[in-house]
Amino acid sequence: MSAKVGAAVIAAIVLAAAAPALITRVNPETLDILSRLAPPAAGHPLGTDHLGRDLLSRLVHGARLSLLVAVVSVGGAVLIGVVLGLLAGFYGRWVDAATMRLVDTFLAFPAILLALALVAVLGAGVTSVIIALALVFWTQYARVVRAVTLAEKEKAYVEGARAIGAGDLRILLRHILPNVLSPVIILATLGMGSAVVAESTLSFLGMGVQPPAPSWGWTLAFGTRYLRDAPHIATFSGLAIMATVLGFNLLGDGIRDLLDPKFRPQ
Amino acid sequence: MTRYAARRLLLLVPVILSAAVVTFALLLLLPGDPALALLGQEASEAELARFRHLLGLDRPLLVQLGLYLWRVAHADFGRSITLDTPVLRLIGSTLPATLELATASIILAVLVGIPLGLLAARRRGTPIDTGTMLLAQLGVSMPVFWLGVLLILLFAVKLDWLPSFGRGAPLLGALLAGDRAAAADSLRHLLLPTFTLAFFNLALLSRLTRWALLEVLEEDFVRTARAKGQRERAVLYRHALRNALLPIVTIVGLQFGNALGGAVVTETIYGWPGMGRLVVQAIGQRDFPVVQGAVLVLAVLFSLFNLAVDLTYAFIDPRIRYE
Amino acid sequence: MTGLRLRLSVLLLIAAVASAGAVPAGAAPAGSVLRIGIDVDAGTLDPRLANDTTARRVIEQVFDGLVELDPQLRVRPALAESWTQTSPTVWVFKLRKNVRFHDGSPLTAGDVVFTYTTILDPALRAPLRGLYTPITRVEAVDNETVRFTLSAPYAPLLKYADMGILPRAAVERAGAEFASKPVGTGPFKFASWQRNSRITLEANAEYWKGRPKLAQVIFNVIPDNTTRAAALESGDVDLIHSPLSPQDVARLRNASRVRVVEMTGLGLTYLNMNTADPVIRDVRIRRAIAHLIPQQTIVRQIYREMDKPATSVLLPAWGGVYTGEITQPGHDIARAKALLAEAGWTDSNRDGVLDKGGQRLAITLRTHSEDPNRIQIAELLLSIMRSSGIDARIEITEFPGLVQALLGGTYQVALLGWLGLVDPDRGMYNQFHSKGSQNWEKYSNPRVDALLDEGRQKADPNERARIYREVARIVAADVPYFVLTYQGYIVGINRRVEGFTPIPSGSFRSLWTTSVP
Repeated sequence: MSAKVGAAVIAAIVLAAAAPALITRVNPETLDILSRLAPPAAGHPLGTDHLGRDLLSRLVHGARLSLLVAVVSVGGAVLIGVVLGLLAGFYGRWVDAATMRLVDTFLAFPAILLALALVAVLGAGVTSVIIALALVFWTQYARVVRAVTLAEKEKAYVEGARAIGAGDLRILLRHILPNVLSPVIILATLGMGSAVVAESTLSFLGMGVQPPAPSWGWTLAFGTRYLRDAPHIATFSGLAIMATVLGFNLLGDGIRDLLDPKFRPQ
Repeated sequence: MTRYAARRLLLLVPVILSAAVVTFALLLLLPGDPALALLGQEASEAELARFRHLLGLDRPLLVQLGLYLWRVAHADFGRSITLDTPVLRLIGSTLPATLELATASIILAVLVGIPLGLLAARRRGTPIDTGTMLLAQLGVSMPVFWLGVLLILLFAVKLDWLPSFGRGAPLLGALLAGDRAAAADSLRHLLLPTFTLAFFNLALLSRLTRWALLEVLEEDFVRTARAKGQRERAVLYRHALRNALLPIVTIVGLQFGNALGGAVVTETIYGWPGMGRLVVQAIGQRDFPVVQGAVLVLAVLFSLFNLAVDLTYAFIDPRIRYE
Repeated sequence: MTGLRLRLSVLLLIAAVASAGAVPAGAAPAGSVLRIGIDVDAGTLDPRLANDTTARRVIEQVFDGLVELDPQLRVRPALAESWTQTSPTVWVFKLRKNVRFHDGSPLTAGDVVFTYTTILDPALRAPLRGLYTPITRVEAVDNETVRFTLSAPYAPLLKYADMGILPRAAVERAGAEFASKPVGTGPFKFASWQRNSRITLEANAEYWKGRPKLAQVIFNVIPDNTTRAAALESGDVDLIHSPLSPQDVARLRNASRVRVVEMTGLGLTYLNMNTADPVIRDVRIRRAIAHLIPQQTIVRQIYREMDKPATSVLLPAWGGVYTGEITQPGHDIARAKALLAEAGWTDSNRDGVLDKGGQRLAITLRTHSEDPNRIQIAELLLSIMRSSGIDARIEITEFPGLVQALLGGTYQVALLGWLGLVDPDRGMYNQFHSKGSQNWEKYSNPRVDALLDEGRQKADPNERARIYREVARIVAADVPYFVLTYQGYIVGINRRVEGFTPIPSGSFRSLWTTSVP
């Protein structure tokens, strides 16, 4: 039930991202400074932001940016995590030791601080935020994939495959990877929500996506500054973020129930 | 167990060392250096060069790295460039505030989150369950800075019940000294930031507790126990709650770790004089010795907490051993 | 058994750590307390090393200079009772008698000599050393007389002689620790300092001007602008001042508990235009950019009148020099487009972006991430430039990143500000002289150079007014700077506080006559 709600929410956001014109035809960058911070009214169903831009249009167009950041950063994290996790688990010894020390090194930094420093080094912008989040998130995938790989490679069918002459690559891709997929998919779905929240936190700390991109994080960060004059900005942008996180969480829970009822993401 | 712990502890040495090198490299890559940050707009090329020389920034990179590691090995963290104070003293004065906030928030998360999860599991399917889980969803999806500002506006400005910023006297010190007035004042200051920091983990914990319980309730031994006529309450507490221990340990460990450096936002909003804010400020001002020293201390603490979590796992469930 | 002992000792250790840095226990001294909310912690409390506004606010309570600046920025005697200029390059200061430092030691000429010679010593790393480098020698004539010898006539020197005087013996005893336990002659004595949290001062009963009315002054560090304003509104602090957010100031004006005092401060917000940049070097482009800026709208909408529209690089606070008659290019989009066309930029390929010789008119505007108002202005200007056919971008970095770009000359247009411009020389010499240390825009005009050099040597107010007005007029026409606003200096005070007089420099000089009944 709740998984369907999650899927519906995410589907709606994907739709907004893919075809914003279905919802609003207002340009998200057209500004009218004289009507800044205006409450919801006929012309602007959700009101205007701190520069008098249409908030509905900003949020609808912002969906694409938020999804982009979430999907690409989590995708990058999954890629790094799965590759390193598979190698570490499969080859063991120094490969494993080196990978795990690398994981520990990344885990030794508090996540927000690491992301903040990385964006500062790379220069604020979408690409930097995506790279920073990927470099912060990859460790959990590496740890899970390594653990599953360790367990799988001892199993009889892997021995069997090897006996009939299968190479390492074939064993990794055909036999071990499929077992790794379900926990990774569950973690990644939940991770998308974290990425959306992380993007907004970076914006609050002044190190997010560059304006005038219609980032939900920037909108909320500015919205909290105008919370008492124009509460609609923080409320609607905050709700957009919360709905997305909720959607990914419910979806993640649903996928978990479907794929692997025993797996508990931590 | 002891040998496993000792081995893990030993493995921390290269990790801390590489964390130190990574920090050094990140700082080097940041645009702008301490001389620029310190002189700011007053900077002229000649003054900058003079400052860089005084700060040792004009030496070869490998020499700088070597000197830095050498000093760290001798527990010499140097002096802050912008605050003109030994880095260790800065850490010593901000770490207790952060530990206090982290401890308070973890206590709150455990004391409220677990009972809520229990309640939801026992009343599953009822409006109580739905309500609790909605609250939990709110907690995991609400950006902390938004929550913090909302709470200040409500409790400090509109209702005027609680102070809007700052920290009272150290709570533990006040309690040990038996100074009730000071302790009450500390608690009043602690309340809003603690809740702000705890909300996410509280929510996560109540969700995990409910999951864990529902899962166990489906299992055979619980059915058996029930069939044998044991009361629901006894079943819950004796069998199911024990199963929820793992996620709880995880949250406690993670929250402690995160609160050390991740309470940046909460500390900024409430003007809490903690270490997260110290580091973020130092990054913004390119105060290299403070960033290097504080991140190193954080890395050690963080790694120790991660290790403690892993060890507790291994202790609770010997099958999980992270070799 | 050992486990128990270990646990106990860990507990004790935690208790010890947790109580470290505690405020000294004991009853607060009798009398009233003033609680001030400030945005950042002080970096150091050594006057010579201070580089942030909080440090200066605390230091001016704990220390006195040879002179002090009154609300009109005029120089008044402080530790120096009188002074004379015996030649264009020699100044002699006569010290006040019977002044004692907080540790009981008497103020002597040796302390003044020590203060200034150490500032000039490169090894001290005094950030404002550059202001004092025209001084070649400082010597004690006798116990109460100090002589300053300059390398050339330097009119602004007197305004910088408000630098706090340190007790030589105490500084040499304490070494680097002096910066965290300062001892001066000022109205308040340093009591305690909790990093990133609060600084507490106590009344100096033996203050040479008379005993302060307040018993205690507490500076609370509250980094978030909104929280700081909320703390004043809810009565958790009694006084806050700039930097403040416009929307908070607008609300405080109507708060019953609070009195808001607004005046033009010593800061300005401006666009710095790099005259060495291949595109921006054309004065017509710089004028066109200036014509595109809706100055009045920015002040009214984004600053809500907290900052005022600027007319030139002359600050209203510079009495005698300021004039409102100079004008910069005003908001006129048609004129801007005409200027761009005149400079050869036209939309020849009809893609909506101006071009010249196959090159698109691309301009990047930089600003820093610490100030949300400047980010908003940058976004607004971006939109206006784009709709005028400029391929505009903005780049927002932390302040050190911006300063690096300015120093390296790797920018086109930058939005930023100046603070603490106590004197026209301070606001113009280094900015516009072709040899000026902050002339990042590489502006070079022989006439301006000559005028600025002349200004340094003239003490006569009429001469100075003539010189600096002419520089401002040339700058307004050449547009290396477009001065957007005069920054407002805003103080919010709880109505029960009496006797506090705000000063445009942001100084809290009047705290010693302030009381909280």
